[in-house]
Amino acid sequence: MYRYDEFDHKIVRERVEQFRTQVKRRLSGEITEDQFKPLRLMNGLYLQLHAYMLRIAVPYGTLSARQLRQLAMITRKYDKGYGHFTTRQNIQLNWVQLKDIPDLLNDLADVEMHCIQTSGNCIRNVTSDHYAGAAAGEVEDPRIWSEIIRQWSSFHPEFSFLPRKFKIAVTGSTGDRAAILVHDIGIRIVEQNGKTGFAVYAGGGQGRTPMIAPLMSDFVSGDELLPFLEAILRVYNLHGRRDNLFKARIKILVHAIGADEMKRQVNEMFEKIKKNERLALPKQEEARIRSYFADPDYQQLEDENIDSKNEDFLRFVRVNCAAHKMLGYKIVNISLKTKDIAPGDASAEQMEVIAELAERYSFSEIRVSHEQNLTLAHVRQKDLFEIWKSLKAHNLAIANIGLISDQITCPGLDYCNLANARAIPIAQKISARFENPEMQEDIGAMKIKISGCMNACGHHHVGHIGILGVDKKGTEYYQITLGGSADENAAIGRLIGPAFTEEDVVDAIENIVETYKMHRKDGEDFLTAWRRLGNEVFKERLYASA
Amino acid sequence: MLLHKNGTELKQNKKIINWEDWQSQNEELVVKNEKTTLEFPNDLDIHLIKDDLNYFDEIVLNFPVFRDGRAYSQARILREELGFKGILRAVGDILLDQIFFMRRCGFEVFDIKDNANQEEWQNALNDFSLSYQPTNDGMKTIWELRTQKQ
Repeated sequence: MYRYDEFDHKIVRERVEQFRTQVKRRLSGEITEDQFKPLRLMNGLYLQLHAYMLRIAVPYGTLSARQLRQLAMITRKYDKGYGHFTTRQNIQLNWVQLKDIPDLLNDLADVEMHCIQTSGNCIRNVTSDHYAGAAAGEVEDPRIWSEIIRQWSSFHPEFSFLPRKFKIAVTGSTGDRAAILVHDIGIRIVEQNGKTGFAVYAGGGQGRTPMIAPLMSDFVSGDELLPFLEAILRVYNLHGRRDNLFKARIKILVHAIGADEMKRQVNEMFEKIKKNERLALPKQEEARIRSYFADPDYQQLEDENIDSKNEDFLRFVRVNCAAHKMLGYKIVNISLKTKDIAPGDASAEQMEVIAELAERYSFSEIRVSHEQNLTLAHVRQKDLFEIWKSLKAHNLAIANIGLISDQITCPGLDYCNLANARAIPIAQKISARFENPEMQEDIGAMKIKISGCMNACGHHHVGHIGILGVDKKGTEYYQITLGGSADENAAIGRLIGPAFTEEDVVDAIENIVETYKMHRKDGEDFLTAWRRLGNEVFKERLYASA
Repeated sequence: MLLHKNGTELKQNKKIINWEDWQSQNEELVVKNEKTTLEFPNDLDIHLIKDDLNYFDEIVLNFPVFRDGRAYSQARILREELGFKGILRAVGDILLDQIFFMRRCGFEVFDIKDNANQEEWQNALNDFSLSYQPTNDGMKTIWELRTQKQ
């Protein structure tokens, strides 16, 4: 993975120092909370319901074992001994105190981590595929370009005061595990006439007005990528709406002027910007960054017949482990979704266990998935049983990846001052109702995504089943959508009918599942069945008897 | 206070022409052969003045509220695409923590509060000794420094 050189280190330390003086000015009263707010936001520090929340950047979801251990230490030293992994592959701490932040940032900088641009109206963490470099079928490891974009976007002098936040995601294969089509800019690495380049999409997003990003260019070359991104950002910076916070994302601009007009303006800007030769990445620099993402030292192995009498272990392999591009290896997913914890949370102890496993079995590397789980990307099949035993001992072996209890859930009203409803208890109730592992496998691939308000941080719009918490006259209700998808066939889910109370929503989910099982043909999964059936049969089942 | 990017305070009483007045008076001003200081609005296309740049010794760009970053792009277009060589001044709601970015985008004069702590603002102009992005400010990018080293 990428290692900082002296330049990367220095610029991060300079930012830490800058923020230290800003905190000092705030604590001394020299600046007010209002004046401090934009400064702390650019450093990932939110003021939430109970305390400050700090969002730490995990660039394209890749962590070293050393970094994960340091995070464990930091959660103990400055927080309550746990952290939350987010839908943008970052990690959040919910209980930090302002006076501790400069020291915390220094502890992060010691392991090449930071909170830069994890909030504010600037370019945020570039996210990617948690199977990058490990799954078959990639044109190229998307993290190479994610790192290049990360550097280009850090402390960008022109784009630090955009109309609104800006999110970029990169995938390296046709199968999209990074949800690029619901990002402000989505990038797919492609091959055309033997050359590698990028398909670039702009104007996707969720929130109050979900949209799938239209294509801006079907092929941008390596040299042209940064000028092309600058062109998109400059058009957005100049023409994005600034009169209404809820209409300020680039998706609104693209929708208002139309994809064709957006393309035309971007291309016009691009033609001028690309004349600046200094914006083309030097070949040596590209090669240097590329070398950090070379294949690890794989052994030459054969695929193993995983022989065991242990049903739990076999299920873990079947459900949580994905095919690796190398024979004899597997990708191991670690679920952070049990009914006993908030989805996506891990304790300091659990982080340390995972760091140790990564060190011993997966080249010291851990991935964070935008679905709020963790991944060990390069595990020898012969090591799976030992790993599973360790995970099981620490409540990390639940075999539910991609199944109904593997839900994306936002922090919701329990933590977030934007929320209208609680999301975590709903996820936990669903997990409890569908706890039985055989039942879960029988239901099959099912992505439930839950948001506590219209900001859609739980990605409910692109859930196979999406649940949106709303507030009706002081009571929490839950709206259900069906048929959403975040992959290369991205789609926004369709509302099924009136909202349910907290008491009734889990029964509603069960009814949906029963209806699917009744109507499914030839082993089709839920999404395939829904695409054939539509909302009707589900509506009938949910509302007819009322 | 008018702060120059070299950290000094400027004493100045130049007349600033706004956009409406420029449009109605420009013929007179051109005939007089006087260079003008123009204040250009942040919500119009800066290319509107691309053929008139020789008539301005200074262009003033606006940050109506600190969150409104359109003038950063206007400045870069003026410097890098249109080749404007005169003075660029930033006015409006300017935070201390923004002038480093403003300087990088091509601004050299900053209209800040009269009671500003000059030393603090001077320091802020140099908040970072390194940068990843190429602009016209003469700073070598980190990529260029790396390539140089090899």
